[in-house]
Amino acid sequence: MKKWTTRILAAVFCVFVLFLSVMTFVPNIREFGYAVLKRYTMYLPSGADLFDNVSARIASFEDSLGNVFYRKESFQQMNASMQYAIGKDMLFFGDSTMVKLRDGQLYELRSDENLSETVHDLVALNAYCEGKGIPMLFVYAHTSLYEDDILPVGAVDYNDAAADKALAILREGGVDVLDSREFLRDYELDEIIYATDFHWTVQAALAAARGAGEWLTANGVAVEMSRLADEAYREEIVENVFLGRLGQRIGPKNIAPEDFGLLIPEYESYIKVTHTEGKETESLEGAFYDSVMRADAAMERNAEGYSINCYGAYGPHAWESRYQADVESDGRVLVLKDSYGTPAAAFLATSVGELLATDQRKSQTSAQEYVDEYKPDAVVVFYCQDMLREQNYAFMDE
Amino acid sequence: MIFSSAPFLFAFLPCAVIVYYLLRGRTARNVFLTLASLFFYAWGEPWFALVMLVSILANWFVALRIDAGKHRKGWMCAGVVFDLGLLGVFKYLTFILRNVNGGFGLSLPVPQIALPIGISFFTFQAISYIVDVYRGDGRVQKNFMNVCLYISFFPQLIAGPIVRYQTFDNQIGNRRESLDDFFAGVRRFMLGLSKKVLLANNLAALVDTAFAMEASALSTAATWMAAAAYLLQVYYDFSGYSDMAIGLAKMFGFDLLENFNLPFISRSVTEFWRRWHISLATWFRDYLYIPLGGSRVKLPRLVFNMFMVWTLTGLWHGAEWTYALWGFLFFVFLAFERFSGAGKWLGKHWIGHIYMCVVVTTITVLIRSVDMAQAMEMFRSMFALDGSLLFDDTARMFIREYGVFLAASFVCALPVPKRIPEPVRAIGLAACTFAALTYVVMGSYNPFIYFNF
Repeated sequence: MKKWTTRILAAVFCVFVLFLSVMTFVPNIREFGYAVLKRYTMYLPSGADLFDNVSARIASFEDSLGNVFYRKESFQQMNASMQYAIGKDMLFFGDSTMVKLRDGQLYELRSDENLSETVHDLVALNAYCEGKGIPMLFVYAHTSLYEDDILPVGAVDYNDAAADKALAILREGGVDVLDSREFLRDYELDEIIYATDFHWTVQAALAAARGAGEWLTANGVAVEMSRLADEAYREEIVENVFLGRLGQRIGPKNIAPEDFGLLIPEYESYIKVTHTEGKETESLEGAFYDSVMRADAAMERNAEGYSINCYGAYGPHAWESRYQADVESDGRVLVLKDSYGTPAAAFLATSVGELLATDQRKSQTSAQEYVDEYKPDAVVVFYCQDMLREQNYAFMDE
Repeated sequence: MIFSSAPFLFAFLPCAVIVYYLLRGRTARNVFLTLASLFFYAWGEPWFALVMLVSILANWFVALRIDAGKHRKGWMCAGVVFDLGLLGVFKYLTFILRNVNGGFGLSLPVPQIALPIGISFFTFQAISYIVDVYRGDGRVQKNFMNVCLYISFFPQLIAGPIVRYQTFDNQIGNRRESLDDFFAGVRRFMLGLSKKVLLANNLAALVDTAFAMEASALSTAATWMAAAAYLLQVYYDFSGYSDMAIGLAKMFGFDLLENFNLPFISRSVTEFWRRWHISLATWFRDYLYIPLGGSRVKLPRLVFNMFMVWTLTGLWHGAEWTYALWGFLFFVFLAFERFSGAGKWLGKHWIGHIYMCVVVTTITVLIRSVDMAQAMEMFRSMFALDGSLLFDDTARMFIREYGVFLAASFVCALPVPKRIPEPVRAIGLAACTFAALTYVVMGSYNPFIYFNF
């Protein structure tokens, strides 16, 4: 009996593994080829030798495999369902642990307070800007934990400790810092964080843009502050539409899509915007809603009735986005941002003459080069904590 | 590359198996396995693959010189010194220099040397090769590729079992692959994958949480759960890996010896070490303990031999004083059991199980603690010497979050699964493997503990 069950069991396993292998690799051969032959450069450390080159290609291949694995989302959701079924509140995913906060929002625990050299690169960038008489601000976008005692009992998290550590380094290095844990303190939790996503909300992003606008004004850059007031926008709520990144990991069977609030200007505006992604550019102009926002595409529901793209409602997370607004201000602002900064930069762009927003994870041009070429009146950095833990951001020339 | 990762399961392994069985002839298959093994190691450690190749080359050359007949002992000693020297530089140099600086108030530069994964394992295999050739227990391999295959064979390269050359020698040229062996190997691999991913990795989450907290903030129950979870994590991590290694080797026609034999049914520490990491214990017995004289010496020398073996066993696991103390404490209990006769008495009484569990669990806390201070704090909490609560919310959380895994770990550590009738056992294994695969597809972080050795 054992011989036959072994044969069947092993045969089924082999067929299953082979099926997954074929379905993963065959349709994505080009992706893997690109990863090994081109994208690996993003993983190269400075002064890379032959072994670093090989390691970078391996890392790029593995990341690609992780991203394109056949039906990965289904596996994730099955795993989450299994964990909930055995009574767990803290879902362990191998590389992270996800919990539900007091009010039901999903949150990934931070397992340490390690930071990368990026923090010090920002200090160096600030010094460089100071040398050119250009003020620089770092706007810190905290992840979810804006109140005390909202983690489940026993959850150990280093989000706040890491943020304190990073901002202390920046402040000691002379960088002006706007901490979202301070300027969002008076908001209700569900106004500033999503239940199914790690990003701050559009409301929080507007508050961040307003804070940056006040700092710009204090540093001599003309800003149309009326366009950053809450009253300048009406809120449109699209119900039960958004399944964010964290929600996607566990699936709609384990958490329902949530409402997504759009802030739409009540004022009239005319914005020109050009997005650049690699060799592709896209130019639009018109009212903020038409040129900057992509509400229709972002809110478009999939076959299961929700959208995973809602956070793209304020533009793509492009390599470069150049804005020109119809305001009297002739201020030029350089914004270095990640996805948290996309809506914040979009709001800020309506209130200054020109704004260039870049994502230094993607850009081949260093921030230093942008400062030299764009000659901004001020530099604003909108980044979350993840950026302070990762390397390979092009800040300073090497 | 690790066995429980997507690149291994869905890229390397299918390709390796398909190409291996498409090739005809023993030589072609052996060469392919060797190259595949080197590729496997280089995938995680491109630079250290060179280090391993240098080690293999040196040991191959030394074995040839031993076989040539002149200065046999000298060549054998030179080979062992080279192997231990390589291990010493990569694994112990930093530790030694730190202690020299601390002990003598010096400021010698302490280099930060990255540890090649599996160096302790392949070094011991290399020593096994040249000593077995010297003793005549195995034939010298004139073919460099065969030596390379023995030392770098990917199923057991990274974390054992430590394969003795004499058991591998004949299989290089004379093994026979069969479909039933292949399927048996697959089934064994599935078992190991389930143990590693479902049990070891989930217990690791409990352990990491507990050890990241101040021990004084943990209740006695929480501390014991963490300590037990760590011991079980190590067991399932390592035995799971060994199962996968044995299963993988079987897929290619090789038979490796068992490395674990239900250690938790032991009634004494002595019995525990006959059932735990068998390949390491027997390696130390055959290549250190017996050459030192073994048990056929006077009492003081016997005690010394045991002390040497167990302290070095501890240090083999890690270059820290906590590891040395871990090994030393095992020496103390082994000596106690042997010389007092307690071992024999315990072996006949159920209280021996409790004694063994308490002793091994407590001692193992040492190797998880970052330093002696943390270890002492954990001990104080475990034995309620620091005034901590007996039970608290953290313990409740551990039960809620990890109770299923703790319970499954306890049950599977006993001979219970073997009593389940076969088709049910197979179905259970299929379900566990599928569950494990969901973790593999999702996650990217699941290092093997014994990789650090």
